[in-house]
Amino acid sequence: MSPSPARPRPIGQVPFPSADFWHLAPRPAKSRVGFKEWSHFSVLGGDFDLLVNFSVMTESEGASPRSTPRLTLLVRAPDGHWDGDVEVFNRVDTTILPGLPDAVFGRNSARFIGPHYRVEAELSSRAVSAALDLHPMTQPVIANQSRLSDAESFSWMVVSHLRAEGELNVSARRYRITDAPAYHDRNWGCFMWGGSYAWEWAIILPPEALQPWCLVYSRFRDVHRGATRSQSLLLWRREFLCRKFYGRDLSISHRGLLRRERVLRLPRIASLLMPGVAADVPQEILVSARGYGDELDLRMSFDDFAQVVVPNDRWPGFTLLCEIQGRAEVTARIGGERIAFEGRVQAELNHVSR
Amino acid sequence: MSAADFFTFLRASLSHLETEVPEAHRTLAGVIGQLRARLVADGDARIIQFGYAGWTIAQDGDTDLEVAFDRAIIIELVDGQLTLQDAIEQERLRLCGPIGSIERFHEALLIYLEGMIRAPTAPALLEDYLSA
Repeated sequence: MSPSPARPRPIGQVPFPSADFWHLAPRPAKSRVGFKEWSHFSVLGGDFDLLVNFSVMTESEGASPRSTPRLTLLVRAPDGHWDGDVEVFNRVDTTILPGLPDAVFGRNSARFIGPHYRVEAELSSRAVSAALDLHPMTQPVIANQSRLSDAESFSWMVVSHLRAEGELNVSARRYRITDAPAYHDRNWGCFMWGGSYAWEWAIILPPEALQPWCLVYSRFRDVHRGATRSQSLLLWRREFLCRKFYGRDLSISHRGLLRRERVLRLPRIASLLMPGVAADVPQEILVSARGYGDELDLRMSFDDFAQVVVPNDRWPGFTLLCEIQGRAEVTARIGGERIAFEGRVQAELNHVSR
Repeated sequence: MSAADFFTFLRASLSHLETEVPEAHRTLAGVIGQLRARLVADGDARIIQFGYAGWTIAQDGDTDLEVAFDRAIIIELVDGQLTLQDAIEQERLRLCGPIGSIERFHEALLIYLEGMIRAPTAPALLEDYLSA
């Protein structure tokens, strides 16, 4: 599907294969215990949210290390209903080659067929599927060795803004996706679920392709969330990263607690171990950034969330990934230019459950 | 549907747990100890216990508690539509025995479930059982 001629042209394919590629294939020879990698796609529609995540994690349980491919497909449909699941694949059903961005997990795939990504995902256990063409609007950016804890770090490749076309099917209802804001990243590194860290992350995207600004927010803290190890707010203008706020540039506060009558947890069987709806998801995160004469204020207001439950690397316990959707307001003065826009936000909080 | 399918699933899942998540299996065996649980699945009963030879699932023998349920409950539980607490309060999952035995069984059940979430082959095993 080709993008609308009314909006800016997506950028060319040249930077992508050299920035976005699998570092670990699911082969024992390259397995390193604790190595994790995922290729993640988000679509932030006007009335829906979609997350598709292809991951390979090397685990040490059992007699020998094993690499387990997983697909996480999570959707908040326009009717406000969350659906999705986490599915596990055999290595024989998985095709990943180091050095290439493509992944095939069973009948699910993510391919770079320059100059755009093609993602096809269909759960075997539920009536949820998506077929997307994602056109990059920003250049890829790589952050190497972001520190999670004293001993753990990971690297990150981000394509902060894409435009999505395609189709989403949830419980026999078909939704057409047209020019929706989207996001893609890849994370890789040796770290432990259940390690001594917690993170907050969010992407803020404009509803319209012509709007030139988008943001990525992140904060890494110790597991008790008492000490901040690093924090940043990155601002893109059109295809380029144009401003970075780091560390003491940022003042961050949480307001309220988001409460829902029902919380979807994936995999669903995890609800048996974690009944109830209590979660430390704030209603709002406020970020104030100041530095070298520039200023930016970001208000993220959250509406709903679901949780992905990941077993900690060391038995027992779980890490909760809260996938949150909401709205964002941005006001700023960057290089003397005034900016004000409202957009969509998808956030993720990573907290150890127990 | 034959309830024997549940016990086939249970035997296979415990075997997979031992291989794929040995820490979970060790913890489970330690908690359940000598407890003998009579499981009644869709009216068909077996007694499960752990011993030196591993898990045994037998038709007869003494028991410390009884747990009765049906296939529909398992589907709802696995799908996250029903919590364990609701299943027990609604008497759809029936536990009968001394409080101490029920507490141990409940703790063992939670360990078993956490192990199953970790075992890569568990989803396929569960799918086979539920779709049979």
